[in-house]
Amino acid sequence: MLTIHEFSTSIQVKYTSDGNWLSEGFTGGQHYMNATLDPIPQPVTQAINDELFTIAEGTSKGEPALIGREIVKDGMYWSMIAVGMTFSDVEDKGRTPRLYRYFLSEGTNRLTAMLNWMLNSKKEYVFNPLDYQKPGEPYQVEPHQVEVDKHSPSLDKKDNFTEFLKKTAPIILPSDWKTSPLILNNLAKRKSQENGYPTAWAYRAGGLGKPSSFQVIYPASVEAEQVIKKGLASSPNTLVVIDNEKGIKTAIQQISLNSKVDREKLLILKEALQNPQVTEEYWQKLFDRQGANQQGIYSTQMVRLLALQAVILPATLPLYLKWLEKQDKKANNAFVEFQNQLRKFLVKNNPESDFQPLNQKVVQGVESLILSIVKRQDLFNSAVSLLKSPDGLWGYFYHYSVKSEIEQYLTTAPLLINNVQPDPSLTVVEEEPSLEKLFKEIKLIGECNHAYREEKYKLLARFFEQVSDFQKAALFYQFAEGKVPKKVFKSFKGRGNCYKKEVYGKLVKRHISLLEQLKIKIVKIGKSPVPAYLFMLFLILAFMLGMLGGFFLHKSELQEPSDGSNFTTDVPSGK
Amino acid sequence: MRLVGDRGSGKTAYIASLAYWPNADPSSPVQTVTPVGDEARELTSKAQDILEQGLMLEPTPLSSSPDDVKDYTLSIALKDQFSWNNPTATLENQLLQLNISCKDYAGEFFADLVSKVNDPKLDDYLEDCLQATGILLLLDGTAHRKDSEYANGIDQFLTQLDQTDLDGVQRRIAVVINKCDQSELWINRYHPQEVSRQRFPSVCGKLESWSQMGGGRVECFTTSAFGMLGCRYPEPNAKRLRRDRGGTSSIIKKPRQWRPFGLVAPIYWLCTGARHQELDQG
Repeated sequence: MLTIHEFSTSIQVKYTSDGNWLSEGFTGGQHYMNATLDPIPQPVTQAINDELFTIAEGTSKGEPALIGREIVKDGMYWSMIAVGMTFSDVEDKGRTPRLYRYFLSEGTNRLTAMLNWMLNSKKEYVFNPLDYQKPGEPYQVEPHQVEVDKHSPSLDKKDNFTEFLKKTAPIILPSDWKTSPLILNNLAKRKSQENGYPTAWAYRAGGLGKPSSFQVIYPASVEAEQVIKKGLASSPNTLVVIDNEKGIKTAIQQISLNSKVDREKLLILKEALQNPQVTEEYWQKLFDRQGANQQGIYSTQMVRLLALQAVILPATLPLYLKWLEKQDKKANNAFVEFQNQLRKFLVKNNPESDFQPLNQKVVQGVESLILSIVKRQDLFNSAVSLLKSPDGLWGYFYHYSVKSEIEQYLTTAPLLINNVQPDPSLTVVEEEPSLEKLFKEIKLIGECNHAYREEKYKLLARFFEQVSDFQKAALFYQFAEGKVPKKVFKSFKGRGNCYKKEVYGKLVKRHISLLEQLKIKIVKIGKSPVPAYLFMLFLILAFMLGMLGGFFLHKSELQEPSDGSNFTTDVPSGK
Repeated sequence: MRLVGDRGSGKTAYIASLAYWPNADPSSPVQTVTPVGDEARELTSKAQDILEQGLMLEPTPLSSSPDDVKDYTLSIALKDQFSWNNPTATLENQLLQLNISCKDYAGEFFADLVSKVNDPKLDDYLEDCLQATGILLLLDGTAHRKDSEYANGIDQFLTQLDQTDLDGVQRRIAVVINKCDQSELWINRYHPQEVSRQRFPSVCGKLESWSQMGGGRVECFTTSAFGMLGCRYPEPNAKRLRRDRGGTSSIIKKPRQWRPFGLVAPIYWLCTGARHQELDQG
């Protein structure tokens, strides 16, 4: 015995004198009518809400479209068939609403039996508000009612279908072929066994809410075929049915569109981040579908949408900062506002907060930005302004998380195996850059090779200087230039003197001007040490005296010529 | 922004026509209308595949939660009007971008406002609606016999509005008389205030007193998603399918000449608080 339940879209029914009915619109309070089970299982309503049973508007008028699908969620299993149809005879201001009737049975592998029962025994399976049903009174179907029609040809005997079986799901059958829901169901079942995703098929579909979530689709017409193919092109390329996909989409939309961040929506995003099925590629598609990949749109909503994308997909943060550079003050204010709102939730007292996966993403963003600085000068100013103040979102996580992380990398003793020194040319950001790798390697090289110089660390040094982390700035100036600017050097305390200090186990030297060098340098004249400046003074003095002496000598030579023959100007010879 | 109005008042056709922006008039202040994101792009497809084919849109399903209502984002680029405040911008032909996000509620929301009280779902919708700074109330200009019913619904709506503060931001309600392609409305299209007062005196009365009490601002507009055919002897570019107390339902007569009227004017006002003279002219 097979138990089959049903329920339908809830409408306001107006009874006509001829015993028929008219729709007066959808009902508000109760969403479904003529249900044999109450409440309707959550995975089922969720699947409907996620548009897994939605047939797009403007299609398959007058004929019912069928969607069959197995729903698997949280250890609950349901097989469900939705029959959707527009009713041209319903006088709803001349408009034709699409109304659904759903049949469902608990467990998987029920679709064939349900179809056989619907098509052969039940027969009337399209929406009918007058076919009253009561909760607790499902259909109890006898085995003979679900038997497969022995006369129907088996799938294997249909050459074309076996050809289609070789294709990757979702398979779209040509709309001019003759087929039936049963054949479609068999085909979908075969594909399901092959790829491990639940059976899902759509029969005579005009357009579908989630075309990528089907194994097999039979379009209602040539136009419908085009619509479905177009829909597939913009859908995430996966058969995976993401739990609460609509919720995730709504959360992204609301955080971007509203001027506030709602805790509930943020929790949805956090849960999605914990779901391994929601891959980075999937997130990217979700953001793109909200318009994140559209050019030339400059609005507060876009600032927020792209900022949220930069949180969830940290790799997009540098690109976002470049985009924001071109925006006006209003956009920058909107970005500051967005950060403040998100920060309030993410940095609540408890460090192990509810939003830990989101926190990790922000930290990843900070890390990738610091790594980018090594290579990209163009990001420097944006990165500094983002991370300088702990009042911002990324700034907060830099100052209270990433900073100490770097500190740890730089203070942990480097591991030297067999005293083998690494080759400096092999260092830094390679295939898998990470802050840990960058800083540990820098430390290691710095300790092994005291003369190590690498110009590219100058940006990193300047960055640390700008964010007032002077010890690290000093370390990187030392690596980049072999000396530390006086201002930076004076800004931190450390073991050493006013010319040299030790930071993270490495000696850094202050930049010394020429004058200072003269002041401190000692030269030996004979056996006595003399300060360089005195020596220089003596040299200058000697030089000047020499010059002066030379000058007078030359002048006296001019005034007292040896033979007087050339001296004609002042003393005329004829007097 | 929230787009509210009775069932069949033309909300989805309004926003779909706006997203599609067919047969743009080169002399119009509207340079472009860009749908942002998939939902808004779907609207364009609806306009193209359904309205332009001379078909009717299906009624928008009543979502179980207002969160699930589609929020359409459009970016409207306007050629800037000359302004003494910013003459250089005008000379440089700078564009003004109006960015709107508009939730298209099912008409049942408005109908339920009229007929239901204390329905939890209605309350959720109301709460969502109250978050918006701009509300576009779309009224089928030929459904004037429902004026007193609508006024009752509006009353309940305004009471709720007053109880929800928007951090000092003043709300704007644009009363938009739709289906002005119908001849009796078309002749008065440049007198939106008068048409509104004449057709919906109770609704306007309620809104005006709400505005006078400091609740927010109200302005009236006239519009037609399908527009007219011809200039000297204009006739609606709409084939009437049905007309009764609840209003008129039509489909497009000549899709190739489809040019909507007055769609952007109320949005401009909702965004800026100022009327745009040229947009008011269609």
